[in-house]
Amino acid sequence: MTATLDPSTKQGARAVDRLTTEVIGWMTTVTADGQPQSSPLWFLWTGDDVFLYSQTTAPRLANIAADPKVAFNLHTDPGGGSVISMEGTARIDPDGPLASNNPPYVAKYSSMLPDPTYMDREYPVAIRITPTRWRIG
Amino acid sequence: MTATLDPSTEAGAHVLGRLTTERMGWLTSLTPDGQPQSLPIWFIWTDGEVFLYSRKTAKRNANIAADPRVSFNLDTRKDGDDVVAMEGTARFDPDGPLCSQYPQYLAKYRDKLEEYGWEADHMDREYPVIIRVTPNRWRGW
Repeated sequence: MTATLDPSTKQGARAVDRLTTEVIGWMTTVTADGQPQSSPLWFLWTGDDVFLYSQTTAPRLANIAADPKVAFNLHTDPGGGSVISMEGTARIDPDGPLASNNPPYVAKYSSMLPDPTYMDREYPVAIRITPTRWRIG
Repeated sequence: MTATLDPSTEAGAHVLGRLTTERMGWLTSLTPDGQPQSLPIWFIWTDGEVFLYSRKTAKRNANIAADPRVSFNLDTRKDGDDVVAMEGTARFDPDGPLCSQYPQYLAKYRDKLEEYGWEADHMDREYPVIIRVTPNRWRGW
């Protein structure tokens, strides 16, 4: 079941704002033999899901193929407040746009990414995470 | 297999420094049906392990009892650099010190405990489950 954020609530609006503006998220996938692995990555919040790019050799691709259950979180503040953490279901999106054809992605990461075609070459695999449960505090 | 950090290397010393001084870590455990759950925790880096307190009712306790494989990481810098992440094995330590008997923990979190108005005996009552995470693999770049 998809879990949505309600931007009409203060918490929901704040979560949407952070998901939109923050540049680093952590995604946890689980290896085929059951070891969780957490890695930081660039991402785009589309309003419905977390969209990200992977290298074709990334272990997370095999992990997701074996088990699509993942977790995703943003940083806390230094005191541990402002938690945004979710459980979700990941899938590879073969129809997802490459980075150079993804204007919101290019806009978000333009200062860190002078040449989007580098992403097209090195990170061509589009992944989407559909949230199934949010933890916001 | 335990993975140790080498303080004689620049990278190892840097990671050890962050593990010692930073106060928030993220621990990911797996529900019995395999759903990873990531939550921020307070922790102490001691004897080459992550030490933390859990509530009796915390889901992570049941998760770890069913499957001790976890991941742990610190936040990166804002731009995503300075990654400290590990894969590890968690275990309960029924003989470990409760918070009130752990001066290092009290020193590290003194101002947070004061901010929340929590005495050490509150931690003893509310967070009595001791968990240690042994690193099996470090990942960083």
